[in-house]
Amino acid sequence: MLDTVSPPPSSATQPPRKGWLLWPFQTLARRTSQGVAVTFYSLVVLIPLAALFSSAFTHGWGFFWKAATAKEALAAYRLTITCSLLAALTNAVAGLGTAWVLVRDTFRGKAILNALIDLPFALPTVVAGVTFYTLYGPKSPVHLTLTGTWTGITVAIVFVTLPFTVRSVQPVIETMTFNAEAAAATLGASPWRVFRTITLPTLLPAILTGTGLAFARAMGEYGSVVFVSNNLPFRTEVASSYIYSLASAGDPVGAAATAVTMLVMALVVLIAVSVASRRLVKGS
Amino acid sequence: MGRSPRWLRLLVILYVGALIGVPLVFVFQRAFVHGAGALWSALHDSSMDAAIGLTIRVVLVALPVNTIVGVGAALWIVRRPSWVSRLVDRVIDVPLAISPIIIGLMLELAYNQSGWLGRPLAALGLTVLFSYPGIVLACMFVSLPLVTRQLIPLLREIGSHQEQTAASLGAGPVRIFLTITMRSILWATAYGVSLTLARVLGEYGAVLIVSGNITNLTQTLTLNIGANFESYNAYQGFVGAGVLATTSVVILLLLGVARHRERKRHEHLA
Amino acid sequence: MKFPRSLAIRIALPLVLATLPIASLVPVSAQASGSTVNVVGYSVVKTIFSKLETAFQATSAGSGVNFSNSFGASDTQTNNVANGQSADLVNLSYTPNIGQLVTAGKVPSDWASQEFSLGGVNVALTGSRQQTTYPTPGILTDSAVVFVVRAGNPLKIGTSWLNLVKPYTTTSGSGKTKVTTKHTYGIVTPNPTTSGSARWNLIAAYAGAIGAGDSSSKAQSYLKSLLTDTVAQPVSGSAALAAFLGGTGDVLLSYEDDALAAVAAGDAVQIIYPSKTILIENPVALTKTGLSNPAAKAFYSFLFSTAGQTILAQNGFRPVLKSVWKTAAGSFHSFGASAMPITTFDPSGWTVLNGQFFDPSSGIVSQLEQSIG
Repeated sequence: MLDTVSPPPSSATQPPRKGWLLWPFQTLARRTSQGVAVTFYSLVVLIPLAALFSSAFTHGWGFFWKAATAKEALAAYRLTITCSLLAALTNAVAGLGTAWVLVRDTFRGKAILNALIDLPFALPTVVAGVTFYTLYGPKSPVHLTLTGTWTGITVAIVFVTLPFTVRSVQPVIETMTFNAEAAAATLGASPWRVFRTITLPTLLPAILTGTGLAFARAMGEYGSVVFVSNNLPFRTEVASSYIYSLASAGDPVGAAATAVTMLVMALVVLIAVSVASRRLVKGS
Repeated sequence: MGRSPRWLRLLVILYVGALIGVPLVFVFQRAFVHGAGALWSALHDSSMDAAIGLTIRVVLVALPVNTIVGVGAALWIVRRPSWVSRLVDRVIDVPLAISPIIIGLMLELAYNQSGWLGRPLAALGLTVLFSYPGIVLACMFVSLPLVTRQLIPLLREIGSHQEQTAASLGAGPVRIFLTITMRSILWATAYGVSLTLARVLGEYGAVLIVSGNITNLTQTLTLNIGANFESYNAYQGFVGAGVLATTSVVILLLLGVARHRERKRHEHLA
Repeated sequence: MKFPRSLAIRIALPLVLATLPIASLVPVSAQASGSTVNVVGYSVVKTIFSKLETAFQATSAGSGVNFSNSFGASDTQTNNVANGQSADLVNLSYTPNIGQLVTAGKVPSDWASQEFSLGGVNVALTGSRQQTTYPTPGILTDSAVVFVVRAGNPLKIGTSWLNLVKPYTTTSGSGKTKVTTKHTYGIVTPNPTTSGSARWNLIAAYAGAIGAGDSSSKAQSYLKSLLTDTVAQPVSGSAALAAFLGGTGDVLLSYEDDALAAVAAGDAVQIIYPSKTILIENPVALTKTGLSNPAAKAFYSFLFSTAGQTILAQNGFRPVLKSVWKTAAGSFHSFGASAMPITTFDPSGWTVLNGQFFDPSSGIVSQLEQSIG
């Protein structure tokens, strides 16, 4: 979604002269897939999305603003954004390092490591949540109690978002030829300098994309975080949990208002990351 | 430049091992803590059975539908550009970036008895919320982009000249799709389908809101785990978690195979 | 170029294919409504309803009856039913929950009289003909707010509400290296936004402070200290117990029946009965759909029968039937006059207290939480 893409050649819009008999079927296929996609998408995504926005503004802008900036909401945003940002940045570095090692090295068990990276994609969030609560909770077998702390929440989010940063950088490293780096090394540049001035700028768009996706995902995380957090309003209540308590306790408009605010925030982040990475690609 | 420095490699192994490996092992340890016999009877607990059955039934609908729609949407966006398809391309990733709680809320607002879609459906006697269809809908929403995302860059890269050649030689669209298109997108699709399976099996927040958590009726396996954990039945919760951790490991293997095969196909052509 | 036939196909086929996803959403056939009862309850009654339903199914009125059960945080459950979740019988944490369902049109406004019309229990009778322990209609079980502490009460938590927020000291080391550290008790109570149990707890705490002689403003700052010392606010009563059993916190505020169940299950906890507490009264009602369901009505009657109330009494729930209470009283802690029905504490009962304390913007508790965070 965030890649720069140019439209494919427009040869597909005119019926090929030789296959005119097939053209209605191709049109049929086109219209059919268009119809199905539009209907399906509307029922499943677009109409509910519209219902959310409509519900948020049921009582007008004033109520929306009041609900979106309620003190408990602000506390939840602060917690969620801080922990998500910390986790995303941690994983930006860790993801880069991990992808680097995965591409450049060969060692026994590398395939297992590579597969493990995808576990947070594959594992249900609630499984991660109850596991973290037990593993890093009051009766922790490793004597590490992180429940009810921002640290614990951040660790859970780090778990969930590692694959984003690794998998976005990995393909770029795989296609790198390292010729420029080799040349710089022969000219006497230190490895760190080479990395900083040559390698890193090439990877930066991918790092940025991965971190942005990780951050957006982190902001909405629920199942893996809600158990570890102990869910204290104003203190360790993440935004998704706050929205859930509003929704399940009969304040759907307040919940919708807070949800819309979160969506807008996530959208701003994604757009900013997309613009920034596009600019970086153009500049290089 | 040669291999990365040793300290980096060790650090990465430690990081991934501690962050991801330890919890995974821990889940299985907790599931087996009372031995295999207790595990067996816990697996046959009636709520667990119902939860597993419901989850399977959800997968049976959500997975094929999302695969077909996903492949179709990718083909449509890449091969038949129009303002509609470009719009869909832009918004296709939306479900991935939205919190599952917000997704549940959205569906609840649209499909409840006074909702835009809920009201006409109720007039037809169909209920979506607090029942099976709502759960299927929620699981489809969250996994919708996964197949398409894998296919769009791939389809853009390989272009359509092979299909056009076949068409000009007289092959029908179905035959073209099955013999040419499928072959090039097969492993990428398999990758996307594995991710979809993982997401459908593992959905929690959205289903929590939409299902009403009716034991034995609308309680998926993920909800079952959460409910057990919340009613001091931690062991039963870990048994369910063990089941899902096992499916996750299987999915990891599928992902690995798909990734490997896709790379092979790519290298073969390069 | 257009071919007329394919034009028709072009229009019809997308419509047909588009309805396939919708067709897949057709609900799985519902069970025959005559012999299924949909029960929706608050979190703590999950286990007891399973026992009650099994016992009911063994009776002639209940043979062949199926149950579908949904339990969770009381306010969440109430909202789900208000939003359309099927329910024949609802047993919720506190009366405003039922009131909300009346407003939503799911429960008839005369729900409290079902106890008489279907359960045969008349709360108005007094003296020697008295049938219930308290005169509140529509209540299935009574309980009380209690403290739950670790077995052996290592932190020596007492029966006073006010002492819960007072720091305690521990000393470690000896002689010159003696270190005295101050701690505060870690309180666990559910989230009042979603949980009825939480609201009972907080009203009981407030009442405890008033009962100990505090003015209303002092009692409010007591509540603030209590909330500041809270280390976890899980979504429901049973989630709070689970968190406490999992090691979170030092003292849990809970329903007596949930605490008794934990003790009976052998968990390493014990109950401290506060010197003053609120009598918890949990309402039950048949919904409008339940009233046209003979099996549901029969189940409701069972709940108020001697058999049903005895099962409740044997599992830590204080029965409302006086005849059953006479036999069961021995197994319950005697509060005497120190367990106050909420109407004794405040004549307006929940009607005013709910808004006064728990209104999301103007409620006392909401404002206290805001000032802490």
